[in-house]
Amino acid sequence: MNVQFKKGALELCVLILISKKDQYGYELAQSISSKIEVAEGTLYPLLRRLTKEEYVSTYLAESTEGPPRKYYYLTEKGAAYMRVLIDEWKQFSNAVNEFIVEGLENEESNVSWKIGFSSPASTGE
Amino acid sequence: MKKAMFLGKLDSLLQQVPENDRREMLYDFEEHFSNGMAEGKIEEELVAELGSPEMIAKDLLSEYRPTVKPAEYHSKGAGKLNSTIVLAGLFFFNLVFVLGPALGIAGVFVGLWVAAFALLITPLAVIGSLVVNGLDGILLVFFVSLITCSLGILLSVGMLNAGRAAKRAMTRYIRFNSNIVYGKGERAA
Repeated sequence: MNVQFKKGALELCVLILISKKDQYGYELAQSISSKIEVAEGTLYPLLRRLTKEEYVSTYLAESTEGPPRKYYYLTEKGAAYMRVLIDEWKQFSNAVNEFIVEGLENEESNVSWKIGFSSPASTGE
Repeated sequence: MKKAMFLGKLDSLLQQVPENDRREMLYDFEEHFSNGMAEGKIEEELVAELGSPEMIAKDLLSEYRPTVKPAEYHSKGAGKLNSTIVLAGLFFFNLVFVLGPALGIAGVFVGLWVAAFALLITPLAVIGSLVVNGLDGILLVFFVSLITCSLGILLSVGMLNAGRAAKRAMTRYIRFNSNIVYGKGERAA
């Protein structure tokens, strides 16, 4: 999939996951990569940016195994930002879906017109 | 690739980042490795999932803005390129939009000065009239030349003021140009 495209969607997914419950990096990477094919390493630059822009914040917590984990939680600013992104995403994906549906309809009618099953008049709209 | 190699590569790619920030960036990946290995994954597997250190470093650098010396960071590479582009743009803007009108105004300026000079020397016509016509109509010539001469003086004073204003406008415009290329360009960045 297109890289830039994925980055925007990834940001939204990360915010949503963190909003459900506080997450540490590895956990987040696993949740995302179980559904979306992504280089998990790119998640960390994204998390740094979200932290810098104060959409998420971090705290350290001891774990039973290994070093302390850095947990990410959503700030109020981040929650507001997430809602904006969700709205934008819905609008955007609806628009794309409409294009896809229209495109497929046209394709079908074009094909049938060429083959001669329907009249040219029906291909208009 | 093993964990140590991955981290070493990332570290060397992030050389331009000050040590503190770089440590923090690398810590995230160390934590990732230890969590992954605690779940029974091997180093190679985790490295493969993370993706190339080059790509990660590129992302980290593009989103990295040092908090200490922002000005220095910005003027490094992009500043030079930007000012070259701005300079070229400004050159063509001046060539196309400014040069023509400026030459036109300069022409009018010169013309008005010539007119003022001509008006100023009209009293000489009295001498010419004396030589050619004697005392005939000398009073008329004298008074007319008096009027035109004073018009010339007024016009000269006006032109001196206009000259000063033009000079001021020109220096201001030149300073404005150099601000765009050097001063303001950096402040805006």
